[in-house]
Amino acid sequence: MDSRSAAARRLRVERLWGLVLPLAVLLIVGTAWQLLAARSRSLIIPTFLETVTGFYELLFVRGEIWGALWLSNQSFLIGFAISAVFGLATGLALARSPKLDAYVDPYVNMWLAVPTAPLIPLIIMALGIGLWSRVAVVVIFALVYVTVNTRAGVRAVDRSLIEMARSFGASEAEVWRRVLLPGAAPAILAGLRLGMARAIDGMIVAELLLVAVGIGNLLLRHRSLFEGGLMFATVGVVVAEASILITLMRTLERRLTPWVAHS
Amino acid sequence: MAAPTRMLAAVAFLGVLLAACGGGTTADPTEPAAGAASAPAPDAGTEAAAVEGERRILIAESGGVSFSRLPAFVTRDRLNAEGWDIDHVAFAGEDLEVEAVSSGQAHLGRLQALDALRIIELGGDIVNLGADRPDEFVAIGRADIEDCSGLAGQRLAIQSEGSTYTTIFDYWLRENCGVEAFERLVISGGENRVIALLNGEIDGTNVQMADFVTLDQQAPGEFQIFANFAQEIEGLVGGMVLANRTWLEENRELATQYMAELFRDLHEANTDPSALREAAEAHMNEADVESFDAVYEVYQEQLGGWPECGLLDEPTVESVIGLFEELGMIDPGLTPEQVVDFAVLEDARAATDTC
Repeated sequence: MDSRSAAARRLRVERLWGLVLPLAVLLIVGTAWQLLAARSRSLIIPTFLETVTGFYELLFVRGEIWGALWLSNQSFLIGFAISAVFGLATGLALARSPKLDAYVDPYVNMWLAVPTAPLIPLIIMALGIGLWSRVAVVVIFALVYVTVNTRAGVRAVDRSLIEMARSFGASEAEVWRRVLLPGAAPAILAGLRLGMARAIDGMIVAELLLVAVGIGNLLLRHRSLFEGGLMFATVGVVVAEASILITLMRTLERRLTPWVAHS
Repeated sequence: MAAPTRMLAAVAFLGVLLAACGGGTTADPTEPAAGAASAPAPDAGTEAAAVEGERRILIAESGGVSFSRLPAFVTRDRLNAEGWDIDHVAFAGEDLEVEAVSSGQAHLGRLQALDALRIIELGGDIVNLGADRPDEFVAIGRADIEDCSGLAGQRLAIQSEGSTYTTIFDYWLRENCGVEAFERLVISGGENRVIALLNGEIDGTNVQMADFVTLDQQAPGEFQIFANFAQEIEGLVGGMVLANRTWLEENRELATQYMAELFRDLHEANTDPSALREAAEAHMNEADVESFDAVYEVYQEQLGGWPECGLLDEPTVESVIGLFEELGMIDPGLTPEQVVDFAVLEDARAATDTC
């Protein structure tokens, strides 16, 4: 009985800390932010209170954030879907064909490092200023991460398992289905999660550098009018969306790969 | 540590980091020029006077090297050859440039009129020293649109929602053309708007005159100027030199000297373009250098060239303030003395024989 009540007490204390600690951190950070920003008299960095007020105004007074999110997420959803499909296919092909990988690898490495801003005029000339040019930027950001992680995941599968499967008469399709894909699944799903985060990045960059619609338009407007609180609040909304999506992705990873020790 | 706590700790760190930075500049921190120069301003036409103390000025810029900014580069290069230490620091946006000047990390900057008024209204530690660029923005569109009323319902691109020339563009469309409704696209960068126009993605926009000249060379006769804002809108001035107030109080002689030298080069720019051409070859791309002669001619004939003596006086500044108050872009109450340091401006004019 004593050990059970002690365990229950410990659980209550942990839950209390789970509530109190984040609030305490928020209070300390908020106070420090407020004091430092007020003292700096910056024109573009808002105080903590200005940011909180900005959130309230953005979500409940102005209301334009919801239309902006819908507009922005169109390029994100289409671009991420394209990146996922082609990234997976390319990664799997590169992993299984060393010859193809040898040809393509230098370009993959270049793609990882390429800065996007100089490409904007090219994208406008090729695809115009509509939805598809923004989708292209999202794909440029996300596809290579899905490809690289998929390739790495398949390569990391123990060769002896493949040889064992073949020795039992498994066909190429069965090797993929029973050995390679389950073995590479954690890395593939991690790649999709990273690609998703990059796709959100690309969504915003496209709207800041290419054509300002949606969230990008709000950010540029608040920035040009020196409305720091509203600008930070808009960034906060994007961060919140990214956090929710990544959390959902992690849940999917846990469901699909229950044998992996997820943190 | 549980995931929510880790996230909050990360946000906390980011918030403290951002607040501690106290600004969004990308420039290296630089100490303001030490001490005030005490020598009198130079006689007209002579070399820069030996201003005592350090002749160091850090100038914040954004938007790249445009045609109208070339005289400033001529001034920088010439004065640096005479022993000054003038640096231009490029920022990714006007707001960062303004933050740098207002916080004292840069001494001087360059802004359009409305932006400068807005910053002063917000309490930014800046003041204007004079105009150094013509009012160079024009409204352009497809040549087959008969007159500006034909822009109604068309796809028109702007730089950003809050910029000076977006405000002017909106005003001109409403007052001069009777256009209230159009499809509005925000495309940063004049060169991107020109590409969109060439590709048929938009039907009109506002750009710097130099961009239109380049556009017309690439697609002769396909586009037209609907309005030259310098001629159409009263009370508008071009780009202005602004200074950090605190630095200015400690370096009035230096600032006066710099402005006098700038006025000298603005006068030269209007009479002999050779120094300007050298600056273009040094700082601009090949395509811009190729169109230099055409752009120079247009700037002289249609925009009246560069303002040689800073342009600003009390009636002009009152007119600018009045225009933007009328458009609802600033609150009533700003005075010319809050916006411009007329003492430095007058001293700089007195130091040149062309003003």
